[in-house]
Amino acid sequence: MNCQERMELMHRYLDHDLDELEQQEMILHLQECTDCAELFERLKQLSDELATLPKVTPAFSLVDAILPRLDEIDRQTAAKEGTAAKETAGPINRRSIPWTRRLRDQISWKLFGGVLAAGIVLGIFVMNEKHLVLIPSAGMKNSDPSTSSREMAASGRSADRVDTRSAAEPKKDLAANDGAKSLGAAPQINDAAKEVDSRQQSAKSGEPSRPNSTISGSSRSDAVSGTDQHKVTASSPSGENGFGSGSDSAAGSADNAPDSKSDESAQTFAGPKQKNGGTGTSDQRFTTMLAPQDHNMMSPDGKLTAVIDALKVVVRNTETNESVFTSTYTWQDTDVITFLSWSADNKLTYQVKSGETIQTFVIDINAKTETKAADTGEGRTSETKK
Amino acid sequence: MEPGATLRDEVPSIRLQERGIPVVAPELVRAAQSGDREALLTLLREIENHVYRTAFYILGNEQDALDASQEALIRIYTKINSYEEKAQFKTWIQRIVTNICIDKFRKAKPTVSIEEHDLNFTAAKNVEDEVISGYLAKDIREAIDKLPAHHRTVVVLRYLQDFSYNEIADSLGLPLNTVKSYLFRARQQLQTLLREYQKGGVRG
Repeated sequence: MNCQERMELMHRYLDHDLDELEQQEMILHLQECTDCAELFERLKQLSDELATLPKVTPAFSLVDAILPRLDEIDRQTAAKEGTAAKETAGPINRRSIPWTRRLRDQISWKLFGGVLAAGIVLGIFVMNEKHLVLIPSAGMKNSDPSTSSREMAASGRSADRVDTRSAAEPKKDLAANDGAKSLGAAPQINDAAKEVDSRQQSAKSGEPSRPNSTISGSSRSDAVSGTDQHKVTASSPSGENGFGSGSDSAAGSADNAPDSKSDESAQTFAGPKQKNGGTGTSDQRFTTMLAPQDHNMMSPDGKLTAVIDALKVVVRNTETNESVFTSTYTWQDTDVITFLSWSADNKLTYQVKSGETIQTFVIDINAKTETKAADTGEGRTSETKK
Repeated sequence: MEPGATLRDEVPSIRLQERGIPVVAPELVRAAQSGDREALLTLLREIENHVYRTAFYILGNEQDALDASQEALIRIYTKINSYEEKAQFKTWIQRIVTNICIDKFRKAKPTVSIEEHDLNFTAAKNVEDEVISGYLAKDIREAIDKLPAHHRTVVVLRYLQDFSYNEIADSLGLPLNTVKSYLFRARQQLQTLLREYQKGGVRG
């Protein structure tokens, strides 16, 4: 056995890996060979030093530091599970955060307007093309939204007819319809087209970055997306209320207006977009039929009509077109004004969404006053149901 | 050596020299695997120092060590169900953290070769005066930093985790002989480096 081979013994000795015989052999050799003895001393000392290296510990609790990320992982896991179990929609999280909350966290509300606009476009597209599929899938029980929306699109503003029709329809249908109808009746085509186009743009660009959200977890075609939409509606607080879902004069009946419905229509139309982000064909199709500015609402008795004129809310006599009340607020092109309700005692409630801010106003037409009802902040509109 | 490929191989655990870090109670591991989130968090808290220590000595600085050990803990959190009891839990943990560290290490900085290092200490004079008087911990740390990644990792597991050859082999998915060879060579290199430090007097 040479020195090289004995060196392995030394190393193994340091690792407590020698049996007694090997150990004796090594010691014998070290007594004879000074080079090896010196090396052994060094190695032994090195080994001792290594063994006493400071047992460093982190400056802070690593587990505490990663807890948010672990939560995020759980959330994503739950969201994945959620796409499968969405239909039941109950809390599917392992942790205690309601999944509606998680859903909200994952949605960029800034994009929502764009998402919605694209959704409306697709929604109409779907209604026109595949209304037989849409009707059941949109969670609506009866009525024929596609018919009235098409009529509106074609005839401009035949308010009377639609009014009658709508009044006979269940509320949900009304709301969904109204969004489409108001868009379909299109006097101011150019502006409207521009607006929707730009929104659609933002919706498209925004979509790829949208986190894995439970709303979208479906690869089904737009026509079948109704079930998903329905879910979204149920899960999201009414924050989306009225994002451009303008009810038109047909929605004027008081019982139709409460926000839960316009909310639903908004959500419904947002649905298809989540999947397709708007197709080129539908873009073109709708640039010729849209007019979001024409979100009219008629008073319960039909005598007055609320319109948006020069970026202001104006209440007019339906017959004479004479202005009865003009709001003091002037809005921006990008703001979305939605009439919510017109009560029997002539109080008109409407909502304005500017960016992420949603404000609700009540015009008392009899008293000729306008009051800001509530700043609904994150999109809650509970105060509007007065 | 391609650690990415080999470290995933399962090497049967042989418990010859079970020293070192207290093995996490199997009950706790099982509870964590069964979906008990609190148990899993408790488990992570029990191992976080060990994970960090390995990362610190492999990567050689606090910030990288914090990053790597947090990444390792997250991976353990998400992969807890892939642990199988035929392996020791502590070697499974160390496999995860060393994999992350070696990946980081490769990306971060090229290894400084010992030859390059030697240039700084060519003027070794007083070989006779040299007294083995205890290496400075700082020098040892620096010397460890100069080892190739796998050698360094073996040293860290041997001395900072007090692992046996077999446990190191399990953790790194390396054959036993390779582990020994790495460890012996690493010690040899460290010894040479530290001797240079002392002789050079620059850092002694």
